[in-house]
Amino acid sequence: MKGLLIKDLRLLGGQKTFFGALIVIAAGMTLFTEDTTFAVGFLALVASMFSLSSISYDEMDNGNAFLFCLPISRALYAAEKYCFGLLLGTGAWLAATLFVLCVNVYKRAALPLDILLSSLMLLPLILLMQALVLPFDLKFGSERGRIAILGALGLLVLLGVLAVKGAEAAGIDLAAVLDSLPPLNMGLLIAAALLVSLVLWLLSMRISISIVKKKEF
Amino acid sequence: MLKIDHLQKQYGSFRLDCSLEVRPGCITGLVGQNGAGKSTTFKAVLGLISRDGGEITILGKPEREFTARDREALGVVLADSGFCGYLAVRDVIPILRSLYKKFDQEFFEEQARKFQLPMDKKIKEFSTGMKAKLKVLAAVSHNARLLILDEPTAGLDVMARDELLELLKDYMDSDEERAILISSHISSDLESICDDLYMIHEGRILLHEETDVLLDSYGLLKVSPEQYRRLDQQFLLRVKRESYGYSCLTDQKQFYLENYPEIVVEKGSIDEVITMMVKGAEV
Repeated sequence: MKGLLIKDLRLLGGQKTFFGALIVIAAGMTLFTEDTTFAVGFLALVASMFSLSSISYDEMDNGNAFLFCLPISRALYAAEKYCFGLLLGTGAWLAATLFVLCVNVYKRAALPLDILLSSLMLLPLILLMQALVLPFDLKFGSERGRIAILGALGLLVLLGVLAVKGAEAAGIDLAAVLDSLPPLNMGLLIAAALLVSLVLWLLSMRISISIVKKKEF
Repeated sequence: MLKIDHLQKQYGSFRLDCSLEVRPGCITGLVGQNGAGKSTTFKAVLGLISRDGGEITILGKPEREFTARDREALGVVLADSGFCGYLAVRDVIPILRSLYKKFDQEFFEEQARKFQLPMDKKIKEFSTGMKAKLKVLAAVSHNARLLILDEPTAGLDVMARDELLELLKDYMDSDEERAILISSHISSDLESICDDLYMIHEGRILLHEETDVLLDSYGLLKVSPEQYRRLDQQFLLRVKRESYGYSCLTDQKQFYLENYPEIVVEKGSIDEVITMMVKGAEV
């Protein structure tokens, strides 16, 4: 896996300017607005999605055929895309969380515990995004994969809206329930969300491995 | 080193049925027109496509049991695929070092300098020749036992082709147990380095012969209709009608030179042999 990670990191190095611009935007939002978690979510999600860009690079000029002639198993290739996304996503998440914490402590704005909880709530989201998009990208390729991802996201939003409407119809205000949770329960909720998203992430990786194993080049 | 036994693959109306063998110490060529089945054969050997039938044994192992680790003993060049164009040679070095235990970085860097491959330029900005050199260099720089090279010289000028063929000769000279399977539609490339040649056409192997035999014993007889009638036809492989009469392919050139001094006998180049095998009629 080391060789694949080196390859993807070297390709990532070619996008220094793009990532530099993202960091500037995120830092600006943290320094000059009241928003405490925008930088964390923005940077972590964009960084974790570089897995998709690395798949596009691999597909370019039928590059996959050559990759699979190297001493790399197809299962390892698929797993590396998840690990790479996770490494970048959590790395960016950690760096952004620390930065936001420091800025807020300096500005005496939001409480560190609130920032930490808000940031932690984003971790399951990063895992879920990867779990959702990577199998589509590996199955359909970069171009058609994007369309499939949009379709799947639309479906998820629809399900979410239906769930909220359903709860409303049953007389439950989900936002109020979340707000009323004490920090301890909030921590448990985040831990449960992390656990569920991790299981889904692993399941998605398994599906992707089987997709890549069946591909022909 | 490599044995292919009735490899079968169907793509619409195209049907591949290919058998060949690459022995230790040998450079085996696979020659044929575009679309003859060379790349399909290579892809099946490398596990890039599924096959409909037949057996493939690589370095003593069935292809289906050939693991990623086993692939360290292979050096591969594909005609239409390579390292991502957004990488530079300097990026490729640590990747190869991580993937191959026996990667010879010193050799790689020395050859890259010799081939004038820029270290920091992106591969997508390389010329066709530079890209081809990098592909072959990556294939020969980790002590592979078997090279599988699909059209490594495609699109190269004469100088670049010579340099690459020289590199392949050096690779073979340093260990007599190594072997190469190489394909090309430029037969002169194969003539100069291959020990034996397989000719493939429309998915089938038409001919397998040692290169020396092909060049020494095969010939083209150019005869009038009258000469053709008197000709002993037992050593003729193919015959084709021409404006002057017939051209005939034989694998016993000497027999006709000695027994029919009046007829024109030309040395059969690989291209001519291919043309006759494909376009000529069986006798």
